[in-house]
Amino acid sequence: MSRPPAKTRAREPFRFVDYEGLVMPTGLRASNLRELAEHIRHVPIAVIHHHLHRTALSHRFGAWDYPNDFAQWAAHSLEDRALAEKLAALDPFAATDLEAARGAIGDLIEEHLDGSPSVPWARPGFEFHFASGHFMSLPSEREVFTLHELRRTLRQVPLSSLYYHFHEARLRAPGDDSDDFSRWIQGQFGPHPIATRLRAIDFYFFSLEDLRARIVSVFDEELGRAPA
Amino acid sequence: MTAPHLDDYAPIVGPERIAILRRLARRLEGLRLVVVNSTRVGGGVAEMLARHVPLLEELGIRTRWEVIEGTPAFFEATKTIHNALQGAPRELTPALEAAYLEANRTNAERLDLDADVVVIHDPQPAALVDYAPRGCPWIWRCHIDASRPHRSVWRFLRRFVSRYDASVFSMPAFAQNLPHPQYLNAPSIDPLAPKNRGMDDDEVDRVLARFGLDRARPLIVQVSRFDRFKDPVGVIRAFRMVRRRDDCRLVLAGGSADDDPEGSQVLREVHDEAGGDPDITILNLPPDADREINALQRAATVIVQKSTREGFGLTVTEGLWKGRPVVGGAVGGIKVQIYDHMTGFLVHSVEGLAYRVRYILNRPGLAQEMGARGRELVRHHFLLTRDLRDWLTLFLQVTDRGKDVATSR
Repeated sequence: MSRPPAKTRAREPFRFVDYEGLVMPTGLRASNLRELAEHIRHVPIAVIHHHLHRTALSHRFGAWDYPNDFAQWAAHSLEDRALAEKLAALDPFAATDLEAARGAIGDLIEEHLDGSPSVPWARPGFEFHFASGHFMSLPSEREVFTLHELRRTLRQVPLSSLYYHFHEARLRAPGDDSDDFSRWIQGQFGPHPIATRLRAIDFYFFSLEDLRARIVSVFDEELGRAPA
Repeated sequence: MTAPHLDDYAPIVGPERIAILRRLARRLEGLRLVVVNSTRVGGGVAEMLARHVPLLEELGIRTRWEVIEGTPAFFEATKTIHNALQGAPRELTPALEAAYLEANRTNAERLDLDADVVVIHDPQPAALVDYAPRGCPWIWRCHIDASRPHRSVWRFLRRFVSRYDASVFSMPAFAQNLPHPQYLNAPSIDPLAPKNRGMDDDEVDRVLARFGLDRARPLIVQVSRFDRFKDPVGVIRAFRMVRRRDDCRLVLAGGSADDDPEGSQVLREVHDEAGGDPDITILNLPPDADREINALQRAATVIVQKSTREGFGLTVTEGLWKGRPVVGGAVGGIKVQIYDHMTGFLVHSVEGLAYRVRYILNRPGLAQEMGARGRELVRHHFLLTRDLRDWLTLFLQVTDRGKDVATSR
């Protein structure tokens, strides 16, 4: 695998995008697991997208326990840890699209209900509130041409931008299990170990702060070994 | 003190957050915004607007802040609406309905509402939408915990709210069945405002001394309007349970906003419950007592907010920002700020409050860890720079200024 110098200039820059938006509550709520399953089958697909993926944009206290809103709710409001584990282990990027992910979650919850002696209820005030989002991807002013510049800028960009280039990148190109950074690196410099290693990050279990640290460490390790 | 500028926030939130505000605002350059609420002083909304308006101006949004005026009957009506939205079984009499509508009608004639976006805060001015000419998007911002509104009053208000182009709530649970898009926007605090800026120990001690207080014993502090939904009487009862085991003092600091006629009655009830106990200090502070509140929150060993209903609970946010653990009622926006064992404790009873206060008083190391986490939570989610970003994003979405931007739902 070729290793272009870290300061080699690309033909086309990598352009960072700001990802800013607002959460939009739907007014739909589930007080128990049966209601959750029913709503999951029928809500607009944007709602599934929001609860399955944008959880990463919310704050965590270091530890990242459950990676999507459904698993969080099962753990903290229903206090059904077994269900929370199953929902957390579900890989939404393995599904061909969001509809397939919706089906998998619905099936998983219904199977869990079939094996439960009673329907678990949330304690009052901790119902599941369905929401979607209205997010905008705005071109930022940041353009980088070299791997060095990319590494430096990755340390500074807002976490929501990182989310856009890593998580949403996969949703924009279903089937291509790849992020925007590795696509750009490969497109500009050909096969490169940084691109390979970025694609291999099991990112769904990281908070965005952890993900940033992991990405930067890949650059540090690879650029440190590359000729200056 | 001169008002802070945007760049003054960069050391607190990072320069990137400020840069994003400027990038969003560039698309909104020259937008004419009118915001309307019911009071210029007292209460969280007025406080927030006082900080937002100059910063929006600095960002190039031409912002005008209008305040609705009314008779005592109007404010009685709006207090009834407020309590009913929070679930109290109150009814609007025909006379109160008439006072509410008449005040909105006369204010619609008096106020200059010509703008590119109009934002109406809370129920008091909500009916302006019926009387004012409509040439731009109107947004209703509800700060109240409307998760279980008393239905007849909500039906009355819904007639007006449903005419808006969008509404904004503090929590998903407050969203309603409405015929327009609804958005979430958590309120925020200003870290550079006199109520939240850094303060050294000497200054804190000087303020305490003025109230006959010191830090010789642990201080339990609740800062809140004297309002039944804040349960100040419950706080006194919990304090008495704590004091059986742990030597400490209680401070209840509050005031009443211009639009809150019940405040003085609740204050009397609080004094009756305290019964002259020298370890209970009740402070009825004026609306501009920011420095005093800042000092009291910093002096607190534990901050409590035993609300039974709460829109968001900015006093919780203020307490967390000062690095203090907070024990609060498991209602409204308090639930998104307090995480059990992480930033404090959510409680459901007077007994629960007493137990968790004792739990923290006896674990100073834990209190410090909780406080540090709470401050980071606020830094990420509840400072006014995030709030401004949300508003700019919303303005882009409701006007045609953002039409060239790629969006996803």
